[in-house]
Amino acid sequence: MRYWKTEGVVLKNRDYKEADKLLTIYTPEGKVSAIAKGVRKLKSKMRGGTQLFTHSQFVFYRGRSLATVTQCEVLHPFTALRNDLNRFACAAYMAELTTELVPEGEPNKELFYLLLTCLHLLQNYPPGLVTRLFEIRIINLLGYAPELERCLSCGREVQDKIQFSLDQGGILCPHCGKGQKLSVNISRGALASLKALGSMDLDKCCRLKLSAAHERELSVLLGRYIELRLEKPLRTREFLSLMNNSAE
Amino acid sequence: MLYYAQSISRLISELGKLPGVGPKTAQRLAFHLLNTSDEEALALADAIKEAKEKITYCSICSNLTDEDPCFICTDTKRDEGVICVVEDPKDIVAIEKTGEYRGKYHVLHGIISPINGIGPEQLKIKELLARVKEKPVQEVIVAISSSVEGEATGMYLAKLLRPLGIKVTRIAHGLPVGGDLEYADEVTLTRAFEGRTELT
Repeated sequence: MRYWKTEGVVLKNRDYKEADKLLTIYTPEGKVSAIAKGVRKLKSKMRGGTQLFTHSQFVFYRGRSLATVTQCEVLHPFTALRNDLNRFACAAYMAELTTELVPEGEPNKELFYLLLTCLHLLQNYPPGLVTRLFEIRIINLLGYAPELERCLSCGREVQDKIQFSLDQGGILCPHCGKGQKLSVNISRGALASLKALGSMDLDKCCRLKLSAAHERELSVLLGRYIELRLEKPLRTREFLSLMNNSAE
Repeated sequence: MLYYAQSISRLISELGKLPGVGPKTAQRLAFHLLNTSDEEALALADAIKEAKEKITYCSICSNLTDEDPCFICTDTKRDEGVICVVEDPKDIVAIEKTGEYRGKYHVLHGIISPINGIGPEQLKIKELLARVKEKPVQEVIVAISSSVEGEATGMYLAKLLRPLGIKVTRIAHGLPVGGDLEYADEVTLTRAFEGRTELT
């Protein structure tokens, strides 16, 4: 079939030629790079559905290298993300994580619904909490789940002075963590929150209370952990921290 | 393999770098230029050279100009108290064509797009801030496209400018003239309802 129909979330868009856009769309069948022709024109019918972060129903035409969007219809426009800079920054960050961490054409239904759920949650719940939730869930889903129960190297339970090893991916006891360059301190509260965020039901997670200090701690830790996996810096983090600093 | 004399193939490859020009068009343009009179062809070369040498950013509004400050900034008939912020110099042309707006402009040269690595620092926002601090204005009109990034840029500007006591407005979003309701998407329609005006 050269035509296929699927739902998807627009993660990235870039102007292309006179009136076209190159889109990166995340669908349950994986990430799709597609060209949407003429969508920058006022009369285009596909303008609404191809806006950033919009959840839409798409019809694609499979081309040689790129797909072409032939039809689209908005399912959810996520208007709340447009009216709040901080939420916008968080959504951009989540979109970048998905774009960067997932290779093209790898179906992952669970990840698609995680992204969709988190975008919905982001409309109403604290942006920091939802973003941390998305971070830990996406790394769990993609096989980068850190060990949070026992010390990575000696297997003992760690009570205090817990270290988190960024390169090995998990916690270390103070003894094993000594001299490790890529490990940071993690407080017990933050670790407990991280465990809860990674394991609880998605709809219950947003009722968690995450203190500002723990939130910041996890933000730095997870950000560095992901950047180390990606081997490159994330572009949206700078903007995100700019928004956070000015919000305080 | 060499099909053309070297200088012709260089001309074709240079023309082929232009947007929307493929190899065949580049070839046609090159041969057209070779067949036209010397004056005409050199006039094009000269125009490119002159534009590249003379055009700079206006020190006030960041528009592209050949004299600094640009002709809009030096126009004394225009209202100094209103600045219209646009994304691109081409947008100024679009607004000027309406003949409705008589204030000044400010060109950002892009919009905030964190995913594409464009933050507020890469835009001419510092220049705008410096400008309004130096010469206070009553109103800043944000005339940026109503995409998600465009709205984020507008909100960011509002956040910076409002504390300075400046009214920040956004141009209306809604139905295009002659547009059918059934083809409008929900976001546009919602905006159209929000910005409805009373019929008199």
